[in-house]
Amino acid sequence: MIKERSFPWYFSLFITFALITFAQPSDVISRIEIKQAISNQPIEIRADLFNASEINSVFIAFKTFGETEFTRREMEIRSSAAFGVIPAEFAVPPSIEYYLLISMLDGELRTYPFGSPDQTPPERISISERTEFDDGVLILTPSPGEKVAQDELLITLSFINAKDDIHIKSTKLFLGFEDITEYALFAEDLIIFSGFNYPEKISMREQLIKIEIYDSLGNLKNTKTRSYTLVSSSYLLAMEDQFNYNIDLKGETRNENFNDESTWYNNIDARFKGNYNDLKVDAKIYATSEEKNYRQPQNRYSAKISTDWFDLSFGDSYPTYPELILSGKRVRGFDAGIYLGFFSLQASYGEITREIEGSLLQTYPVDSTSALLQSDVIEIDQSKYGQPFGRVALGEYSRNLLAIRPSFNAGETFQFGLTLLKSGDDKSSIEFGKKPKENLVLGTDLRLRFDNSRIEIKGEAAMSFQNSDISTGTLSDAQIDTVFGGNGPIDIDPDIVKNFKSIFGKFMDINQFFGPWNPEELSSLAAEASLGLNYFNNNIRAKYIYRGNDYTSFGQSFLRTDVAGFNIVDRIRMLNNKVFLSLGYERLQDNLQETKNATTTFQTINSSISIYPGEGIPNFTLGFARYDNSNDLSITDSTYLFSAIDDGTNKFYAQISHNFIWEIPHKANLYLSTSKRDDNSLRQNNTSNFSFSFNLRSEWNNYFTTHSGVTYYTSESAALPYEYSTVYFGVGLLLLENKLDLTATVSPSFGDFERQALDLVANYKVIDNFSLSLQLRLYRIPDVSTNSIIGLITRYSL
Amino acid sequence: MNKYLLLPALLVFNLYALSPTSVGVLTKIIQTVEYKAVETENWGNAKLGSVVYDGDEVRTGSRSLALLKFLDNSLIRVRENSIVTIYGSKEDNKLNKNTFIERGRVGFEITDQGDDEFKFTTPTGVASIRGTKGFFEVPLDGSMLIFVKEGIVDIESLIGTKASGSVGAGKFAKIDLSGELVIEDAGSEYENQFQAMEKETVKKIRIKLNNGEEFLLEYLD
Repeated sequence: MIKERSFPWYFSLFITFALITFAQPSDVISRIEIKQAISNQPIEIRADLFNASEINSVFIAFKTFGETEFTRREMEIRSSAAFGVIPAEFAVPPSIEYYLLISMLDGELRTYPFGSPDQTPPERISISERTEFDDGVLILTPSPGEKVAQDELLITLSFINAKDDIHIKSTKLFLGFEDITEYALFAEDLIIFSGFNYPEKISMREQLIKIEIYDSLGNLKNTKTRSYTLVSSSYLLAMEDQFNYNIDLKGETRNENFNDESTWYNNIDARFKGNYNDLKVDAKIYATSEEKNYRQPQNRYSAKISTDWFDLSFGDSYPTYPELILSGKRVRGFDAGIYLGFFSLQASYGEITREIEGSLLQTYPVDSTSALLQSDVIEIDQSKYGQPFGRVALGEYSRNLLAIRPSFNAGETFQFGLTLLKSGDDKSSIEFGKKPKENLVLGTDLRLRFDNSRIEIKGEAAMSFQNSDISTGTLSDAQIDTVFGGNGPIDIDPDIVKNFKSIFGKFMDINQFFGPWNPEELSSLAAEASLGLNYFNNNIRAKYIYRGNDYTSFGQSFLRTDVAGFNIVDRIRMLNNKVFLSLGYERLQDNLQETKNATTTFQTINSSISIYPGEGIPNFTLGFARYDNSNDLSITDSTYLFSAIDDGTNKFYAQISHNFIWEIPHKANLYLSTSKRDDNSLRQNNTSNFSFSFNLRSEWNNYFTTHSGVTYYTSESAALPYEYSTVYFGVGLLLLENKLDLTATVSPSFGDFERQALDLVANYKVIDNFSLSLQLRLYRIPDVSTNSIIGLITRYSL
Repeated sequence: MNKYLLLPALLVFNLYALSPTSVGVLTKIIQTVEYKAVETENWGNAKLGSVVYDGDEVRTGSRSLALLKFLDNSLIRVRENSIVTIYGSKEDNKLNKNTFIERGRVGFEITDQGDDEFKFTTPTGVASIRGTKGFFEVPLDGSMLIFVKEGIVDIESLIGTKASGSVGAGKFAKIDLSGELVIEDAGSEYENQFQAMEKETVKKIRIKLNNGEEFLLEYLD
């Protein structure tokens, strides 16, 4: 099939293009690609990795406008990239900020951009409200991707909402490259093309419809495309009654050469999707040579069957429970749900951490007191190793998780849920480990919606209990009397401990490492409540949060604790959705249980205005944020050198994007951002940074595109002044009747970050369902090294 | 001289004024679907792609289905043994629509109407819709039932007490012949009916006669 490049295609490419970031200085991430960023649609993010073999896991942390807290999701590492999705509910205009947390194999935790979010501003993605239907022309039929019977082909366009300057009768309709306008019926605001009126036989395969829309002066205003598949009636009929499936297979072999060390990687990725009436089956396997017993699993496999009222999956899944309890965590096991309208039940069970055995480094006798005080010295099997203690490289216990959530629903109006999460380390899973832990979380959530969901009230609360060392197991009542109370080292009434034992002993070990003993002080409570109002073009949301300093859920590794306060955000739509004004304020405080020597107040003011004036005029976004952090410790007293806080940060950013035709179609995007942090404490940790980027994509014809741009970044701080710039230029070529797709990009960087990068990718479609892809990346760091990645990917679909 | 120039202009104007407003297109036809243009008395077989104008009627036979897409991409499914009349009036770029259901069952998926209006009328009630999913049923006695799957529908009785109310997602409303309006939570029975309503599965039988002639019988499953 001939691949045509039309405006929506350009538009989608532009979005992709505009959001490709030629990485900020990083020795882990080489490039970020964001496929689309449109309101209420999931945002897919791909982070290309320099050396995937050194990475244990990658998380993406993101927050919407006006929020201070980042939500985190684990990304899936496949081949030489990490893939993640920001869920649709977070894709809220005007923008979303994100950074990546990269856990290295050696235990080091890095971020991208480097130092984010505290020292370096996170990356920002502008969320567009716009769709491709700006001209108001609607394609009524066929639906995108629809399978249409050969004798029922009907293309219908509606111009009822078309802009005034659009001239309906000038519209041109194409089937592939074939102009079929003369066979279409123009009826007032409708254009109808019926397959019956077309004298030629239309092939039964995937087809592309192209519509060219003109103004009354004959200028091309827009081009729309829609793909569908033409099939025989009998095929369509058979499909409805039989098991339908498709299989995608991908194999990759790749050589990475870093610092003169050459490594081969191989992986296969197989995906299966099938359905029989309402029953759907989804299975995938990703197997890689990177699977090693000394790191967490890199292979992924899952199988899922689902209908409208139940689903069951086996293998790796990322179950979604209330955000405070379990979210974005990979669980290897089972995940199941039953949805009966008024009642739903969700349950998940599996492993969230695989055991990794440690190693014995040195043994010690019982009288080696100085050695025994060190944190990596543990008790070992004397009969096996000759000594009772050993210095070890600590391993990781296998950790399992069970979560159950029954919920009660009444349509969109009401939802009430109860959640139990139990998780713990398997003490016997490794020999050289220390302090296996257990965790129990009990939670509830409520959602109410009124007036066609214009009013939304949400609440969520969870209380956690944790045992930070279960190696000794549960204490007997006699042991409790010895350890606790006036006679023991821990001054807690033994009866209270026994009470806890009778209640929680069924779920977890109760000993001196259990806590909290005083849950009524809310140290292990996490709760939030929000009110959303959507009236008069205002979308207001006010939220209160409370996170005790002891709150822990093994299903939610990155929740910010010891903080309470509120935020309020208003997103205002004006001038027929051409102007979006966003305002937000947040005030949070820590030290809830007075465990610190001072209470810090965090205040944020956020504002942004986005203007979409319409065709021919650039879109603008301007934003300003102010962050103030302070506590009441004296900033002049050196006693509080490290604990006194008094700083303020101003951040401005602006983005201009413009799609225009100057001889040929171009897409341009300009982004400016600057921030300055004034630290009034004795540390004087002042920082400032400025970044600028400009991208231009030009479509010379259907077969040749170019993209070019420049990025400049500078930051100043007492510790590390930094400045660099990157220019890049790339071409895209379609050759051999569109079977060969070539792209090449060069991007040298100058300044404190010196690097020359070359990317070459060739995709060749051998036959419709079989293609080959060759990828070559070269990264030269002057006077240091020349690194390369060469990979061959084969794809086959059935 | 001037009046001779004016005559053709008036003729064109009158023709324009007389031409009915196009409201939608029939995008799927299964089994027996008949169509009657507003200016005619006779029913004829509807064809795929037929433009439906203001005042046109559509009726379906047993095991039949007609799918009508409005110009704003809203959709109605006229299920078997139903009769509907489609009305539409255009003001600037706005299209106000009204579907009169004489009898039968009609599913709807109405896009966000903005400033436009989308109404359903039955012998006993009228419903105003802004962007929602659900179905109507008008049995032979002329009473009216509506189930709302998503969104909200304002409903008003046309007879008796002329009661009115709003029907939210997951609820059904009934207006009986006395005009009494009842709004209640819908059970799984209505959910199931709604799901069945959305299905367009067709059974086809290929019949071969002794003389070698073949024809295909198609009906709604």
